[in-house]
This record gives sequence, C-alpha cells and structure tokens, in this order.
Amino acid sequence: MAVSRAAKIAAALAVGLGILGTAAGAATLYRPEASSKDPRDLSGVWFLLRYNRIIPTVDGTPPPFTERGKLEWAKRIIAESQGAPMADASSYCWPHGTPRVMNSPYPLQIFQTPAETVIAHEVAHNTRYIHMQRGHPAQIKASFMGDSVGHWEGDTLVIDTLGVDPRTWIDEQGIIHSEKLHTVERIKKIQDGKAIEDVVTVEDPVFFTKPWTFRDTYAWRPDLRLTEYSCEENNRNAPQGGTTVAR
Amino acid sequence: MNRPVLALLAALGVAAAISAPSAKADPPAAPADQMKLQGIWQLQGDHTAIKTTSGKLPPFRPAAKAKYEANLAARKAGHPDFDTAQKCLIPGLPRSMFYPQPFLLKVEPDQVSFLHELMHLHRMVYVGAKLPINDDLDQNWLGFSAGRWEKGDLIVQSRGFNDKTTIDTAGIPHSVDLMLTEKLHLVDKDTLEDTFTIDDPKTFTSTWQTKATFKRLPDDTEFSEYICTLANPEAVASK
Repeated sequence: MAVSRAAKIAAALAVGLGILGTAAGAATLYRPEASSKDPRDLSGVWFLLRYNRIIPTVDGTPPPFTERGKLEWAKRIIAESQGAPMADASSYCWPHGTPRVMNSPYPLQIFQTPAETVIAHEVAHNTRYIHMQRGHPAQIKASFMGDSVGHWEGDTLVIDTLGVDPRTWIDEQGIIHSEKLHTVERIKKIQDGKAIEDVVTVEDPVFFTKPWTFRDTYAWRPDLRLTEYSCEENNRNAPQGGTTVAR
Repeated sequence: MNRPVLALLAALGVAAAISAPSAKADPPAAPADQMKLQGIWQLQGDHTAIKTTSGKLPPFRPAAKAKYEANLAARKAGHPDFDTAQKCLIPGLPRSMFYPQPFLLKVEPDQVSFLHELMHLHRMVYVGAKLPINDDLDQNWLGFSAGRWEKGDLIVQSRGFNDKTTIDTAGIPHSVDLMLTEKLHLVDKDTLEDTFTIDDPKTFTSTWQTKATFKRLPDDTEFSEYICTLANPEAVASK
C-alpha cells in the first residue's frame, strides 16, 4: 500500500512539475509565479479552473427549485434540445450578470483601490465594480451586474449582490432568477496564492425553496494578459424573438 | 518503499528545488510619482470634432480629406453609416478617450489600466513591454499598448488597430498603420493632460498632435452600467 501511495504521489508530482516546467520554460511570465503574499491583495489575472455550463450545488445536486424554478429550467433544457435555445442577456451582448459572469471560460483581472474592487473580464469586456466603502442603498435600480458591495472578514472578501436584472441567468443552461436574487460570494486565496475560490450562496424565493451554494476556483495565471473580446462585432448568436439563432 | 520510487522522489525533489521560485517578496508598488496619476478622470470640453494643437484640421492626404468630407456630409444628412460606434462597436483609439464618461486609471508597476464607464471598456497599457511590429499584432479595436515612464509622465505607444473606427466622432479616418503615441502628464494633482501624436503616413502627410484635458473626480465616484446595445439591440442583431 505504502509503495503504491508513494508512486501515486510521485506521479502526481511529476505531472504537476511538468505543468510548472512548461509554464516556466515555454511561456512568458508577466507576473510572479504566485500572487502577492498579502492575502487581501487579489490583483492580477485569474482563470476559471473547471468550466461547467451547468452549475451544480456544492453537493453535486440540482439547486432546490420551486415548482416555477423547475418548470423554467426544464423549459430551457427542452428548447435547447430542440435546437432553439432561449436567449439570456449575454446573447444580446449585454453584461452576463452576477453570478453568471464568474463562470465564464475566459480570464479575468482583479484591480483594487480603497473604494472599489474591480473585476475586468475578458468575455464581452464585462466589468464588475464591487463597492468597498458602502452598503446597499435603500432603493436599488436594477442593472445587469447588480449592486455589489464588499468587505473583508479575515482574509475572505465577502461580496453581497442585489438588484440583478432578471434577464441574466445563473448558469448557461437554464437556471434563472427573479429580481429578488441575492448572492453572497466568499472569495479567498487557496493553494499558497496560486488559486482563489469563490463560494457563492444563491437566494431567490421565487425560484428556489432555500439558499444553495456553488463553488468556483480560479488559477493564478501570470502567463496571461486579457485580450480584446468584442461581442458586438460579430454576434453569431444574436437572438430573434427571444430565441438564440446560430449563424 | 521501493528504490525506484525513492529515486524518483529524490530526483523530483531536486527538480522542485531548481524550478521553485526563490523566496520572492511581493513586487514593489509603483513609485509615488507614478501613483499620482491613479484616480478617476473625466474629459473636459467637447472633442467630437477634434483639431490639431494649432487649431487646424489634420494634414490629410487627398483621399483622406475626401473621406472626411464624405463622413461630415453623411452625418449632416442623418446617415452616418461610417460610424461603427453608432452600432455599439468599440470606438477605438484615440476616440475612446474623447467621451464624457469617466475612467478609472489604475496604476500598477507593470501595467496602467484604463477602466472606462463607456461601454465598460478596459484598455491595458503594459509598462516596459516591447511594442510588437504591426505585422505581429491582430488588428483590433483598441490595439496593443506599451508604456514607459519618463520623469513622471506616462508615454504610451499603441498600434495593431483595425481601420473601422474614426479618430473622432466627426469622422477623421485612419488606416491600419495608425501608430498612436500618448503622453499623460499631470498638470497639477487634479488635472491630467493627454497629448496624442498621430502617425499614419497612409492618411496624413505628416504626424500631428491633439490634446485633451481630464479633471479628477472623487475616488469614490461610481460608474453607471453603460449599455450601448440596450437602446438598439438590432444594431447588433442585424449585422
């Protein structure tokens, strides 16, 4: 047993080092091999580690849908299987929304000032502003990205978001939400600053019977720079009458 | 534990020691004189129809002059089809700098970033990067920007543009050979000046300059969500 376990570790190490070797040898590194040692300094480029069109809960189960939630979800899955997917905000080149934009297979770059944490996404040049010096206003005007406010709890950045336009979805397949969506994200560094995790709790009494949680992780990518992504230039999937059309 | 595994682990240990970064401190923050440019800035004055710093029209080549006049006429007639920004496309450079929407200028030692309210654009300037030759760059809307600091001023050189944008709203054309040099200079702590040098021999008989001034807004100024396509989704859908 001991030998086989050691062999497995060795193999894993070899794979890990192989990847590091490639990164260090072939690619240009624009920034150090790990992010800042300051746990509250998230600045730099990160890339979603496991892209999934379908967002499961942390337990791997579907979210706890209400009857309506289940119905709308099924409607979207059926429409897609029939080759006529229903359009969400991103299909129109509108911002992807929160939390959907955090689940895109494109790099993002985090910038921090005392007043704002800014997440610039390569995908469709989405940009999230997380206000660090205020709470939510009493009246929130809905927007695609919603009103995000952040604060630190120890080394965890906690982001609370309300006021997300319901034309955005939660995942790419068909989990949708109402104007009552409330998300709380808990972002912290893991793996000695070579990754971050975002644990997202989703609450929306219209579509879910209780709050549920999913988790995304992002790798530190010192070898990447954001490139230009112009959705508007050639939107091959521009919807017609609410249906995404492939061209 | 058998010997080959031990040997492998030992070898990997050596490899790890070689490839592991030496205990690096965090990269230093940008020097104080560079950090002075960080903040939220807003354009002053109307830059829809720009002139050179001497108040003249740019030194057009004949074909470019004809194109400019056709663009002016098209707008006057209410059909500015040349204007891709009207179709919610990225307005390019330097035009993206000529809008009244503010931008956050974020200064990092290796990167100065323009985070615009306008179309939630982000434009990165890579400090110390080598500017590739035009043939090595994709032609895109905002090009590739390399920067360097000179006595507290940020010098930015950009190229790799497509020719679908105009230099201003009025319709000054440019070619894919456009090379834009900007000098960002802090006049005082709340006033930022950008001097643009436009070099495009296919369009102009000589290089020329224009300037824009930006005023500092409070650091906690918040941007609205700017959605161009919301007003006219067909602008995207019909293309």
